[in-house]
Amino acid sequence: MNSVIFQVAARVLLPVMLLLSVVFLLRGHNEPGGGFIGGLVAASGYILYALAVNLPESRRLLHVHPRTLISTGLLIAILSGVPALLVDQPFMKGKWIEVTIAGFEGVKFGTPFVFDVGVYLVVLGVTLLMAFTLEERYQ
Amino acid sequence: MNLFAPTLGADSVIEDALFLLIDAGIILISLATVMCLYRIIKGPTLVDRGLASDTVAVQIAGLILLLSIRFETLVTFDAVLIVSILGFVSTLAFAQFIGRRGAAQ
Repeated sequence: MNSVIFQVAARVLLPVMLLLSVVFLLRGHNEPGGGFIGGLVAASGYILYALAVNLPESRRLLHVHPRTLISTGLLIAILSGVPALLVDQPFMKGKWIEVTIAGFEGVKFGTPFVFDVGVYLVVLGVTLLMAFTLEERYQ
Repeated sequence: MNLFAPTLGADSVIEDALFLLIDAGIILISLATVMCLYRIIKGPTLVDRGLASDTVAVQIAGLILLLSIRFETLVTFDAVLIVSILGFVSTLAFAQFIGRRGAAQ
């Protein structure tokens, strides 16, 4: 699209939307948010950039092919079920530990969050694969 | 949590009137959304459908805001943000689609 305003706005909006998607991802589970909606927001950021600037530039910013994101996400989601197996519990039972991140003590970190990261990557990959393929037909 | 309790009191007449107006707003926006959905289905041209779907996104954002005031909760505020972003992006994609179709013909 040949609009200077839109191109400049998309360049600013992409990092903001990626940050917002990570915020949604991190505070899921207890508050509204989670991997699915986070992945959707991140994907709409890249789609916005592809619409405003062009498709190859948006692909270059993603660095990896969307298929790689899907497979990596599925692998992470499956691996999140393994820790419960190691202590003789059913596959995918939630395990939680308390860790210290950036000076905050007692931050709860568990396998549901790892699963959410996997969902985030899968949703991002699937949405971008569909959108980029549809966009490519017009190039 | 009550948004207006500190200034108006729990059983204020103003608060009753406000809730009445919010209910009226919810009903009116719902009716407008139904009309827009009719336009999306019926719409003679592609532009009608694009405009109607953009209006539906704005109406849903407003509806969620009114409902969050009505039910006195803050958790739905992020849904408004999401609906606004997705509505914006989908309208842009729709506009580009219409433009390319026009250029191709």
